[in-house]
Amino acid sequence: MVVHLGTAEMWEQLNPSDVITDTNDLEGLRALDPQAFSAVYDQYFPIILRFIRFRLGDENQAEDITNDVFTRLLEAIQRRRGPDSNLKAWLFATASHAVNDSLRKSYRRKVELLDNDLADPMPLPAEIVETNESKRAVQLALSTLKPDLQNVLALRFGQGFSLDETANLMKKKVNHVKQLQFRALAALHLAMEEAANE
Amino acid sequence: MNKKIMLALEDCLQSLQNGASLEATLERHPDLTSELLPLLQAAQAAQSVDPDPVPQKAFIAGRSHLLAQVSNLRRKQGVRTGLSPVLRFALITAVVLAFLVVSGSGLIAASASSLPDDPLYGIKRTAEVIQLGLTFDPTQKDALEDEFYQRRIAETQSLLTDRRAVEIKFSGLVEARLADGWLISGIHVVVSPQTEVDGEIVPGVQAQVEGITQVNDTVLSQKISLEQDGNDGNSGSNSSGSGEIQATETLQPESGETPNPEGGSSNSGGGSGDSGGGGGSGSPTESSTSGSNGSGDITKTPEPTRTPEPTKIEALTKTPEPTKTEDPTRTAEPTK
Repeated sequence: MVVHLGTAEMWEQLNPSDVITDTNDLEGLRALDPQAFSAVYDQYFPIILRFIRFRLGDENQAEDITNDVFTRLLEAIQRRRGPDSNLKAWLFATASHAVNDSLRKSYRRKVELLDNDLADPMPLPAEIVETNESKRAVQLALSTLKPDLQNVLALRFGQGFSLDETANLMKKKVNHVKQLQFRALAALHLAMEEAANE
Repeated sequence: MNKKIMLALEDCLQSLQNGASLEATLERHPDLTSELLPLLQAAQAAQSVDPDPVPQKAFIAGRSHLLAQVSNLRRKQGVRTGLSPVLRFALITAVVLAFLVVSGSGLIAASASSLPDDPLYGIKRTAEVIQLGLTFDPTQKDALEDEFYQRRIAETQSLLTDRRAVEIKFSGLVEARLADGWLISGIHVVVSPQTEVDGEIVPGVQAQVEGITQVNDTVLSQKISLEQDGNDGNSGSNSSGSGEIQATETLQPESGETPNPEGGSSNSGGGSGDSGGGGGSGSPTESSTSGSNGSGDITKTPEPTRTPEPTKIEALTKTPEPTKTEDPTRTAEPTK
């Protein structure tokens, strides 16, 4: 199995952002205003966590990395390298980088954990086992896709974002996102078929 | 052809999103069924990967962690929550004039209900300092300090009610241990691994809390300073001449009763400049004589700032000892 760990350039290409973050938010963040950080956290934590959880399929790891994303936001603002206008896109881009970093560092360990999970001595109800195995099969198939394909699936089907929103966050044109989505679904179906035949 | 499939795919995805079945959706493009079916199956599989809600516990813990980091960084960078010294001096001068001229009306009155982080809050605090400075009668001064001390607690509670995240500082009585911290003067104070604790936290002592209000009705503490000599029973021996209130009272909590959040403990005056409500000395759970100014005449009746929830409280564990002073000056009764 080939697991694609990532390119970063997809988040940094093409259009300047169309979504302008409330400048009060950004000014508040730059002033290290706890109120601003709290508001940004409340607004974005859920969607960033779900994005990361979609990519990783591991709740605890996703929570850790989501917290890491907000720590990176704080550090970036401290170094005056934080988002200029599109905070949401910055957070998703950082989340994508963080996921790729994490996979790069812990891929070997993760496989071992998955193997251990399969040998879980605590039996679960049949329906839950079936659902979990089904989710795990999709998750494994997803992990074989290139990061930009994973991201478009995470945003479109994990988050339910529209084509326009997804294009904004990925800083791509809508037609490009349509193509990516098409390729991603085809690749996912193929990967699931290959896994089923193994 | 590819473009035609992509258009049909988008149409089908929209149809699925609107609640149509896979079969009904495919009937919209009968000539492309074989191409669209695997794509739509893959889309449904992708949608099934993460249906779980975001866990509230992780959400709250993550916010606390982030706000603690923000607060630490603010302290390192010396971000001031108040005004700069120059501005403060200018403001003091202006407020003195305003105070003398309009005697508490106008700007000062407008700032009375302001909370930390509000534009007028600096005026409110400065006015308190001036008011204290212009009060020469020791009894009145003590009463004022106690009033300001209660204001800090009330402000914190207002911020919690308004679900605002703001840096605060207040002094209060440690009332009970909670699962993740302490109940201090009716305020749920969360203690994290990053919290700097100066002294031992036990019910009944006076604590000065620095932290951030959180939207989940708690204060995330960054620093908690405890009174070191508050429970020795010799309450008349400390803070002589300091001008602090040496309240004499006996708490007699009974089963089923709510501990008095104020505790009547001494307080150095929440409204004194930058102190933000320094903790007073003296024991809130034991009788003590009035030692600071010799007047021993404290007539206020403490009022609870908030009734703690009984289910969260392990109970005030300190048993008050009977007062044996010659000049008992106040007896506080627990809230019923």
